[in-house]
Amino acid sequence: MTATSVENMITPGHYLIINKNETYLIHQISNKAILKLGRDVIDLKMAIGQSYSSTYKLEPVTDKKRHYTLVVCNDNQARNQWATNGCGTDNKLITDDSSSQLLSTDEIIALKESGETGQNIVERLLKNSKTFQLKTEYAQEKYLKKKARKYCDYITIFKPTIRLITDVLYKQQTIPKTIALRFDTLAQILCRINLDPGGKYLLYENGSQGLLQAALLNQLHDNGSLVHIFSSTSEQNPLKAVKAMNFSESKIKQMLTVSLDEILNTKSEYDIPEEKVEEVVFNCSDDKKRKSDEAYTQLKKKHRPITSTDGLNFIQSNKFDGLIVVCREEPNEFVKILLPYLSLSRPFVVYSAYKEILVTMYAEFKMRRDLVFLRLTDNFLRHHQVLPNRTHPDVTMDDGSGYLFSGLFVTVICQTYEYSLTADSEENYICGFSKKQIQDTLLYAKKYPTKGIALNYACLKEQNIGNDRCLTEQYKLIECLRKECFLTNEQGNEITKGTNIPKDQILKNQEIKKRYQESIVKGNEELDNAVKYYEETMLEHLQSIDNLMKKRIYVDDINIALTNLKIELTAAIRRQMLNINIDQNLNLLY
Amino acid sequence: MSFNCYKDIIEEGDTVILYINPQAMYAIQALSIIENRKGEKVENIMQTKYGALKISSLFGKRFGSKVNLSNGWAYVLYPTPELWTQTLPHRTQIIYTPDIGLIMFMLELKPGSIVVESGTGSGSLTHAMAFRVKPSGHIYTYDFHEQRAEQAQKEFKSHGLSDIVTSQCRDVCQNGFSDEVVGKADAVFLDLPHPHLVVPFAIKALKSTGGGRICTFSPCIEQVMRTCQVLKDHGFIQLTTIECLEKEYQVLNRTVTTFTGIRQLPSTDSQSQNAAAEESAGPAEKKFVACVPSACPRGHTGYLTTATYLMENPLSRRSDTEGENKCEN
Ligand SMILES: C[S@@+](CC[C@H](N)C(=O)[O-])C[C@H]1O[C@@H](n2cnc3c(N)ncnc32)[C@H](O)[C@@H]1O
Repeated sequence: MTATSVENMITPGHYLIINKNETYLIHQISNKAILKLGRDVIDLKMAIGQSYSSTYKLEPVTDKKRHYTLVVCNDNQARNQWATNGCGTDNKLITDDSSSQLLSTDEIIALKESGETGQNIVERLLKNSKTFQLKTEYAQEKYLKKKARKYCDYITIFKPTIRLITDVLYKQQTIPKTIALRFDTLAQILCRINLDPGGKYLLYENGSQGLLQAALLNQLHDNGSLVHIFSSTSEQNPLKAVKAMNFSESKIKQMLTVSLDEILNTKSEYDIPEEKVEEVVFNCSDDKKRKSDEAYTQLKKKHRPITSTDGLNFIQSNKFDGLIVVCREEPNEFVKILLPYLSLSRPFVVYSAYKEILVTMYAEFKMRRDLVFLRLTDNFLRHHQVLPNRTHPDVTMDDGSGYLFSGLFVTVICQTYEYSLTADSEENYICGFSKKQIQDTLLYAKKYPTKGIALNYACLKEQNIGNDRCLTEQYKLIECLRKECFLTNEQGNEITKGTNIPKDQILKNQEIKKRYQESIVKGNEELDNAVKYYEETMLEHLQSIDNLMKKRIYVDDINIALTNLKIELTAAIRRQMLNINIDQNLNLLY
Repeated sequence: MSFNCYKDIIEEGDTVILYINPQAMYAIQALSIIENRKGEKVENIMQTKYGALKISSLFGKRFGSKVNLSNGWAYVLYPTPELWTQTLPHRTQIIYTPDIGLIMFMLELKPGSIVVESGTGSGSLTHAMAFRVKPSGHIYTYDFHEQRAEQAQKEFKSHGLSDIVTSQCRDVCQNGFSDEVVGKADAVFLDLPHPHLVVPFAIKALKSTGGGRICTFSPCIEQVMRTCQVLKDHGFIQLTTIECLEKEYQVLNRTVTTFTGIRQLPSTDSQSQNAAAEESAGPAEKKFVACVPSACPRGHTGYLTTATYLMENPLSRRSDTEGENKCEN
């Protein structure tokens, strides 16, 4: 027997998806192979050794009430089908007086307990219904569907897949105790995180019964890895989905786990409390039983001694390809701690059942400069009934997709100028100036604290050089500052030189002074034009920045900042123009 | 080159996404020298709304770095399937990320999956699926449009996906899929005008162990009706038809005027009147964080019909009840 066929065979210990009519459930088949389904007891022994995706007929056991065994039946045609034998065109003849069914409830129960097949029971019901033949085709179908649910004689056993598990869990979930993660939301998370099968992923999941762990493990190739951060606040059956997937030991080993407390503690203490780190040790127990719950129960045992490959070390010594957070808590602070563990240009996705939580997070995160492509979304999902002449959207909808907040992690830009000088940042240039240039400029600024320089310096500091916003404006300010510094420097030299000026020089200087005043008048005109021009360009900037950041930054804040800046800038221009005049005069001087 | 595996440093030949803002993203191939219209080799300089970018300046930078444009800045990002879908050159109508996510989920794709797809179109979905099934899986994709198929093939090659994607020019409505896929596929995906004609061929392609999945994407409900009928007739189960639209919200700072300055109706109580006079500072402004839906979101993309094929069943059987039931639900 080939490996694949073994994997595709029902084996004791495996989890199965059992499908009867429209209900699906996760079931772990034991050696005894007994399944209790409502009031029925089904013996699954026949299915052991069969391959998945087979259908079985429920055969009543003669001496036991409501006990059944299985008979393989892969012939579609043999499934429950009931002849309808004509129908009415409308419902005007039908009155609902609960006497339309001639069989009494007791009689029906007796039928069921006698081991009569569902097929026959429904046929009897139809025969004894006064109104069935009068019903419209549509109503008949609805009636049969209802009966089929109750009297279906067949079950199909599927190999568990994430799709089926998601559906089963979604229908069972009890909000707000557990997270009801709808299939389309899960699909979106997996897509948004751009899952690379060979990548390393960081996951915090709390409240969704291990669905994310299972889904991510399922998407990983042998060389991929997953670190799951778990919360100490206990959740019922936190690994239900992982168990249901029948993962191999080696697959499970691709997942390391760390407790949330460890992460938070490490952050505040900046050292690793080694003994407390927990790792999942999915030891292959000696017995060759392929799958056992034992491996999973070890996860619950707290604080196991660590090994060399503990999860926390792994987190700290690696960069990750994606961060996924699905939890009931407010994840804001926690996500901020984990973001730096991402490689550049990698995504994060946060799920919450509540929009408000993610809105707060969005508002905060869009002020950050190391995140781009921020998106807050939810899903509109609609099922359709597709039947000849009766195709339409389902009459009920499900609005419970929850919300996703995602983005990409990019370069951290230095927050302040001082920081950028010391930090070993990749950006050697700030606003187009080398660090050296800026450093020199600022040194000058400190040395010659004239009013103009002080003003520009203050203005710049306020703007935080290197800040993403208003780069062009910053550029201008720095340039302005540089110039002023240069000039002051020159002037300073001039003054020292001026101590023993000969008379003709003084005369010359007077002339210069005159010309200087003239040029000031001329300059003032230029100045007015320049200010006007700058005002226009400012407006343009304003608009372009507005457009540029409409989605990402509080536009209002930018506007205020820019208005302030505009005032500052106008002043700066005035000073600069003045300097140009000085410049000209200095040229005259030499 | 950079498509088959995450990488950190940009090298010549890589595809890079230049991100200015969510509305302005461009896929660029990082080549230092290109030919101009006259056929001369020139320095590759890209013009954007915010100024020029010398492409060779990107080499050696990390994906995720910020680069200066002459009048602003941009980020260079790794071309994930999601970003590629947003920036790829359109040769046909394409499938977008929300549907792509759902398709891959419904088809139960994972590393190692063998997928059969038609038509290839612009390769939007193909790229995403290739990323999902690599390194051991495979996508066989077919398009009957010769140029498109050729173009797609070239693209997959230059993106380093040749080992994962096989692209062929073929009319699958008439000739079905190529022999190499018979009995091999875990999943079949159809995005072409007449998917119902391809269903019998899809069955041939699906692996015989059962549990294979099929998904069709059709913009029109008539296509869906034909497809569902044919799927049912061929013994597919778990038939579902869904449509899914992603709604996006913006988070903005907004101010509103409040009525705090206004007092209750004038009363005879002179004291409170005085108090009102004192406080009548006029309407006050209040800041709040608004969560605003997009102004004109997409209203329809297509219907996704999915189904499972259990075992090899004789073709053209009568509709089975289970399928019908599922479909109705
Ligand atoms: C809408 S496009 C597919 C887009 C693609 N899913 C994507 O995301 O980029 C449909 C494609 O199907 C192809 N097509 C239509 N009929 C076909 C046929 N009978 N056999 C093969 N391809 C066909 C067309 O040439 C077209 O490129």
